Amino acid sequence: MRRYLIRKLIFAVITLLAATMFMFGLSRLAGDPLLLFAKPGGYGMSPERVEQLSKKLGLDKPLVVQYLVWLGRVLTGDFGETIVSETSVGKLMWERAAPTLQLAIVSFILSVLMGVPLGVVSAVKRGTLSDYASRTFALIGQAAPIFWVAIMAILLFAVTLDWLPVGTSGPDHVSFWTWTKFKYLIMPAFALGWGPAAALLRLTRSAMLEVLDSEYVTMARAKGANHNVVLWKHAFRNAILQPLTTSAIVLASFVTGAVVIERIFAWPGVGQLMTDAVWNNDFPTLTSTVLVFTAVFVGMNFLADIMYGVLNPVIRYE
Amino acid sequence: MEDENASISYFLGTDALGRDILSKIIAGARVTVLVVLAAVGTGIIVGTTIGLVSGYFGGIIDDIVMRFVDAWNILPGLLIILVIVLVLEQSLETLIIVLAIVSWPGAVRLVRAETLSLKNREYVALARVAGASNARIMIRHILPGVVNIVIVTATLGTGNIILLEASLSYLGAGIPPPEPSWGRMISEERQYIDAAWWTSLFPGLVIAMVVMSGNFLGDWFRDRVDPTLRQL
Repeated sequence: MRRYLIRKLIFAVITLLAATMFMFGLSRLAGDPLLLFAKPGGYGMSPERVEQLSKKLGLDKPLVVQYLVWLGRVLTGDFGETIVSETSVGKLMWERAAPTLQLAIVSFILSVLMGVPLGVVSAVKRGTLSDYASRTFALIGQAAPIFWVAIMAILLFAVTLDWLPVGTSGPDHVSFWTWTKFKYLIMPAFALGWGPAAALLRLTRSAMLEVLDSEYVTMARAKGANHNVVLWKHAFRNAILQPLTTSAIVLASFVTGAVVIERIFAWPGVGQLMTDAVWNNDFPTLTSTVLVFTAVFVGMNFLADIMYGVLNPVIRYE
Repeated sequence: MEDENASISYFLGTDALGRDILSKIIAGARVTVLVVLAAVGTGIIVGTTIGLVSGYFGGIIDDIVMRFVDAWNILPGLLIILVIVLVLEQSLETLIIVLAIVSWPGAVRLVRAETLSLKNREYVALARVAGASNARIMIRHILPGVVNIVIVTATLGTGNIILLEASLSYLGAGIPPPEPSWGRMISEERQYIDAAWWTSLFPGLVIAMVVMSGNFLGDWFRDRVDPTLRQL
């Protein structure tokens, strides 16, 4: 168990380091960082200014040193300044972390609440109408593009029915835990959660079917155990292991989804910061946000490995 | 020209510039299919080759390749592609290459696993005794055994690549204009959503249906080639 976790941790760290190298290389490939400071259509820069800037940014040193300096800064939370407004990227990301976290957590809860029960129902009532309805829900969730689902939700619930508000994350002065504020979260959270819910549904369904088919369940039934006891105590507890471990990977997939969803719903999170950076050609902001998202993604996968290790007896007793 | 709802001549209505939605969807299909098939094809060929070599020879090459594939699996693909596309010049070729980069590691893992089990079979040993070279064994004796799995992976992967391309196009980093693209159709017309719902509805519906068909086809293929994997 310990060896397994240490191995996974070392691997995650190495992957993350490789990702930082990659990002640093790309940001240098994108062009001379000094040119980013010469505003297009401006007057250009004097040689003195060029020299002063390259001293300030450490561009007069070899590339490896530059990378190490940059890495050291990133590790201490200093991500540099944005091109557009020359404010601290780290501060900007910190300000926008809360909305993204809210969105991700609510979507995660929503996708588990939708995916797991529907998967169980679908397996237990195999071949019935509720099975087909659940599977259709999963099929659409896995095939429909997330941005399209979001736009269609806006069309239906905001434009046509006028039930839910859209376009911001709600008034600033209201607490998050009120209905006024929460209304704004429903559509983005649902649009973001549908795909993962579909994945969880399919996993839960096939795991449940497999377990319900196994001999110990037949044995429990033959023994005369109550139907619900067999279902929840014998079958579900074993079947849920796999969907549970996968749920951390599901959570990781919110990282990419959030970028698209925040754009559509004008949700003031880190994802929107990233897409804004794409539009503004703001490379420092772009690489920093991608790095943070990558770190979260790698972290979530590590969490999945931990859960797998804890839940899987073969590894637990290694 | 005004937005027009469905009529006999404009079956699915027209967009903000008065262009026929159905025609744009059909024209977009050509580019999307070209990009996706080229990307999946490249990814599968590269992935199969690497998986085959890695599984067959094993050793240090295998270790390096597998660690690389593992590393790639725990990274957020869409974001990394987005950055690569922005750094490189945006073009159809770039798009195909980055999408291929995403799709090859999946094939490597499966082909390698299958190769590992096939290379110890008796018929492979006999081929070696008969004096066949490593290349011949890999191509004539092992490749036919993994080809089923490759087809299944490719079909199941196609849907994901279509969705990925659509997301990229939606974010403005996919198929470059003026080529029509389903993802970009939705993003361009999004602002007119309250006046012209059909401009966003139909392209998305087409993407969803194509992806669903790909998934169905892949599931069907998997059941066909592997009777032990009944559909649960």
